[in-house]
This record gives sequence, C-alpha cells and structure tokens, in this order.
Amino acid sequence: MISKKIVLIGDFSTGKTSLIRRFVDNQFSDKYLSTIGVKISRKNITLDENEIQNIIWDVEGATESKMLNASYLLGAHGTIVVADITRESSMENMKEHIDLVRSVSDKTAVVIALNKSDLLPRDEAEKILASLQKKFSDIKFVTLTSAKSSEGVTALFQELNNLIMSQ
Amino acid sequence: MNDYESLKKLLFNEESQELKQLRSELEALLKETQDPDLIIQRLSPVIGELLKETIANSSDEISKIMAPIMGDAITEQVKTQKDTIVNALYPVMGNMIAKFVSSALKEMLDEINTKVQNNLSADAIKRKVLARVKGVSESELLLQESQFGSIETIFLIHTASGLVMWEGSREEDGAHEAEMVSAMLSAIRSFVNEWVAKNDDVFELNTIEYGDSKIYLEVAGSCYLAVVVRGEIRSKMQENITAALSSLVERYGDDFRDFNGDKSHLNYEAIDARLKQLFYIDKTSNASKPKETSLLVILVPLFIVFGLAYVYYGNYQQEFKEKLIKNKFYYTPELNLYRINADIVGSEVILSGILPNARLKSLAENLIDKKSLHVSVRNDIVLTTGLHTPEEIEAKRTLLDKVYNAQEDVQLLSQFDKGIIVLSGTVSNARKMQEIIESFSEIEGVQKVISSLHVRPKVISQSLHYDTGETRLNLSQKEILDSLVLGYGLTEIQKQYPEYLLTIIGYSDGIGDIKKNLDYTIKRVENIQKYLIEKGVDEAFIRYRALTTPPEDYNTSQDPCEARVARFSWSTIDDK
Repeated sequence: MISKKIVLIGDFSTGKTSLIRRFVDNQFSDKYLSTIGVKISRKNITLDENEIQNIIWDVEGATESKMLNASYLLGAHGTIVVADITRESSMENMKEHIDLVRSVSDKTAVVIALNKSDLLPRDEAEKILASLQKKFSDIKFVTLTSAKSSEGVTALFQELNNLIMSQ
Repeated sequence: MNDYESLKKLLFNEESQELKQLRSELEALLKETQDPDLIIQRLSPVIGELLKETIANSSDEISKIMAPIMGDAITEQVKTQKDTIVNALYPVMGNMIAKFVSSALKEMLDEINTKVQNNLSADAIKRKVLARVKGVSESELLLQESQFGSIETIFLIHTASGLVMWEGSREEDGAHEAEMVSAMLSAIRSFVNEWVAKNDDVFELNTIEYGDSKIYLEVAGSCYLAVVVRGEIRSKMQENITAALSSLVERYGDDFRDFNGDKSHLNYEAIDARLKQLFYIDKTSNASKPKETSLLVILVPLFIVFGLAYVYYGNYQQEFKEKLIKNKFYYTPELNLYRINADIVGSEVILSGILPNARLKSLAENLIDKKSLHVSVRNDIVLTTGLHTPEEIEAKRTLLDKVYNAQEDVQLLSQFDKGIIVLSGTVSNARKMQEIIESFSEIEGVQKVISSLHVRPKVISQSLHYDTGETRLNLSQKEILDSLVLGYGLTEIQKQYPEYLLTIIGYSDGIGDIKKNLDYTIKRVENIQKYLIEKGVDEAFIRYRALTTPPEDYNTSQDPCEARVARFSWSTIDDK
C-alpha cells in the first residue's frame, strides 16, 4: 500500500482538528481544544481502485506570536491550508502559509479549505469562495468546507489525493 | 387601656406563650449554627452514613471530585506524617518489591546459567581472558553481560515525511500502528531539533526512554532508524545499528531520499534481510554464536584486503605522481636529453641526475606542480661542465631533432660537425625559432649553433575538388574558403608574414582538349581569388597558377576528380 503524508496548516482555531475528526472518525464537537505540537491520524482512502494510506499531520495553529514550525512540513505530499471563512485575518494569513509551504517543498500538492461555511449565508460564502479562487489562481482546488455539517470534507481529501497521485 | 391590655392578655395568652417559646428556640438554633463545635457534635454521628450512601450510589462522581486533591493530599500527608504513610505501605511495598526483584533476578540467573553451561565456548574463553586483564572477577563480567538489553522493534523511517519504509519486530506479531508511531517520532524529533536549534546548537535527539525500554535513534540524512530496546543499550549494539544503517544508506541512499510512500519502489527484501540481522546479532544466546563467528570470518579477510588495498593505493598514488613528473620532463624538449630521476618519499619529491646549467636545474624543479600533487621538492640535481665525446653530442642532437620535428609547425634539419650545429628549415613563429636555437646550443660540448631557420606560415592542407566542366564554387567549397579566412586566419597571416604570398594552384585532369582544360582551370582559380578578396583578403597577397596537368602525386588509377583540384601553398615574394 502507498502511504502519503498530508499536513494541515492555518491560523489557530480555524478547525483543522475538526476537519480531520470529521474525515477520520465522522464526528464533530463544538468544544475548542487547542492542539499542541502535532497530532497524527491515519485514514485509508480508495482512489481508482488503489488504496492510499493518508498519514495526516494536524499541526498546531499559527498565532501572531508563534509561527508554524516549518520542519513539520518537510516531506509532505499534500498540504491543506485551512482558513475560517468568518475570520478575515485567517484568510489573509493564508498567503503567508502557502509561501512557507512552497519554500519548504515545491513538490507538495496544496489545496485550500474555507472552513465553517455553515456559519454564513450561502450566497455570502460563495462570494468569498469566488474571490479567493481568483486571488489564489495557482492553487488547483479551493473549496468551502464545514466540519460541523460535513460539507466538502470528503471531497477535499479526495481531491488532494487526486492531485498527489497525478504528480 | 387596662381593659384593652387585660382583654389582649385574655385572648392571646396562649399564643404569646408559644411565641416566646419559639423565639427562644430560634435563638438557641442560631447560636448552634455559629458554633463549630456544636455542628461537629451534631453531624458526626451521621456523616459516615452519608458518605457511605453517596459513594454507593455514585462512586464515579465522587472519584472525579476527589481525584484532583488526592495527589496533594498524599503529598501533604507524606510531608507531615511520613511515618504513618511508611507504616501503612510497608507491608504492601515489601511484597511488591520482592516480587519484582525476584522475577528480575530469575531472568538474570537464567541467563548466567546458560553462559556457565557454555563454559568452553569462545565467548567464555574470551571472558576469562578479559577477567584476568581487567582484574575483575568473571562473575562480574557475566553480570555485566546479562544486564544488556535486547532489540524488540526496529523502524526505518523516511526523515522528511516521517513515513515508515520498513518495520520489524522480534516477536512474530510485529509492531502495532507502525505508521502512527513513526510519524509521531518524526514529529517529536522535529520538535526537539527545532527547539535545540533555537538554542544555537546542532544536536540530534538520540534516545527516548520509557520504563525499562528505550527508543534509540540513529539518524542518516534521508532516513533514520528508531530501535526499541528493552534494557540497557550497549556500545556493540550501537555499532551494529550504525553499521546496518550506513550499509543500507550506501546502497539505497538515493531510493530512500526519493521515497514517495510507495514501498514497492524500495528493494524491500534486501532491506528486510539486513535489518532483521540486528535481532539475531544482538541475541546473546547460543543462536547468535555462529553468526558472530561467521562475521569474524568475513571481517578478518576483509581487513587484510583493505589493508593491502590501502598499501597498494598508496604505492599506486606514488607511481602515478612519479609518472606524471617524468612525463613532464619527457615532453619538455630541453630536459628530454637528460636523465633526471624523480623519486617520491612520503610527500617529498627528490630530484636527482646531472644537468649542464642552473637554468635547466630550476626549470626541472619548476615543472613540478607542487600544489596539485601535494608535495615539496628537494632538488639534488648536480651541475656538470665535463668534456663530452662527439658521439654523445650527436646522440643528443638526433634526439632533439626528432622531438622538434614531431611538432606540427616545425620542419627542421640539423647537422653536427666539429663542435658546430647547423640548423635549417621552417617554423611557424619567431618565439619557437628562438627556443629551438637555444635548445641546441645548450647541448654540452657544442661550441656554436648556426641557424638559417626561418619563419613560415603553416601549410594549408585543404584543397577544392571539381566536377568535369564545373568552375563555379559550390557551397562546401565556399565553406572551406571561409574556414581559411576565419579559422586559419589568412588576413592575420598576411600581417604576420609580410614576405609570404598565398598561391592558388589549379590542376586539371589532363583528359580532352588542352585549351578547354586550361580555360576551366583559370576560371576555377580566378573564382577562388575573387571569393577570397570578397571575404577581405588583400588582393596583393594572392597569386595564382593554372596548370593543364594533374598534381605530381596523382596517379591514373585514382578518380579523375582528384586531379581536378585547386591547392594552396606559400611562396616568398622572391620566388618566381
């Protein structure tokens, strides 16, 4: 079986851990528990009849005083940059995170998840999505997700694996 | 008023009595609630029952409430009432420790027993010798050996991604959650290394300890080994682990570096075989002995081979350098005449031999490239001014003549007679001419060198061939002429050798009408001249001759095309 390292990065409290929890265990909790260091999860997915083992690194969210530890990003086959769609600053900081990813490895496949889409009216969420798709035109997959309603979560990981395997 | 009072008394006497009693009871109660002693007195009979009841109904909740203060409570108790705690725990602790120690001792004894049983083995003899040498008892050494740990699990991990490339276990069932463990170990390594790096040091995380086990990390660039060891890690074990990793990295380093999560791209069987050895080498039981001896059997010849290879390599290096130096002498015409020895001792080149003058002596020394060969030079060359026989001089002249004539741009004729050397011929430049004259005059015993050498442009070997009746230049012929102008540098040569003229000579196949042939040849050479002038060659510098015959070196069996040719030669202005 092929294994792939996937890293989730983004500002603190954007819902990285929740996205993983929804994807791996299909569960959700409203309680906020800040991740310290790294949490590792595993989930196998099937892609074109191939089984791929995803080793998912849930990296401590970045804050103003504490930057991401770049060495966690080393050797990642795929990276998900997560932002909170209700928090402007978390979307603004995505550029910085993507630059860091690219500086560590230009091979990794990058996708963007605009999380907590359930908190905004549909048309508003889609408007933000469209503007960010335009802003990050070099990122092949930018999507709305909600760990709470499970919107877009499976598609997010599926698409990332697609990108990784097609590289 | 009195009536009212007496009426009131009459009507409410009973109530007022009750009120008074209530008030005094209430006051007594209030007083009781403010008196801790009284509360304790009142509650103590029931509190035991209360706790019993609550614990029975919801023990989980009580544990949760109590848990946070338990630690503090015990700490406080130990601080204030140590003896009580010790007294309370002593009987239990004693048993616990006794049980643990006895099982540990049993394991140790078993191991010692096996060792004693194998008393005549190679290891036992080694131990006996070691005991004598070190001055400690054999049993102490035995004890030391039995404390060593054993390798339980090994992970080979891709450093960057933290993905596991190989994992194996001493037990059959293998390691659980290998992927998770290796990813987490990588994260821990990253975390620690990052933190250490902030403190301006570059250190690696080497060991993680838990209980009586350790995770030993052996890191190479692209991958690392995480080895779970139960008990103490001994240096031999570390050496084995290092050796295994370095042999793997040496062979499959590129595969490891490019690992993309697909184990099928790795030489899994070879890696499996190499790493599984670690479990066996490590075992101190009987089973490992044949392995260890076989390792020695391989190692000893290997050492001999390496030793020999090292000595041979050293010699080879020396010979190579000596050859390099001698070649330099050989290809330097002035030194070629003399026998100069260059012997390398250590990092010193010792030059010996005989040379006629100090200039050549220092030339020989300067020819050695001390920097790139990493040597120093001791110049023991002796200078001599002794007499020389004509045969010796003649031999040196012949040699020098040959050396120079081998060079493309030199055509030399030299003669020796009665102490005088006469030189004639052509060379391509004045500097070369000077060098040749000097070389000959440095032959010992030569009194004088007379030279009629002159400088002449290099011979042009290219020629143009024509089809029957064809007089115009085709593309490939133009290319040849272009190369004469640009590559060979006709215009430069004109400036350099003003006394020389370029002559184009046209030949004919001699078949058919002579007049027609001449006509063709003239047109051909004229066209060549015209083209060269177009390309910037001075008209006055070119002359041509048209012949109706083939070149002298042509014979009739050859293709007539070889005869319809235009060639180039150099002539001086004085030539007719």
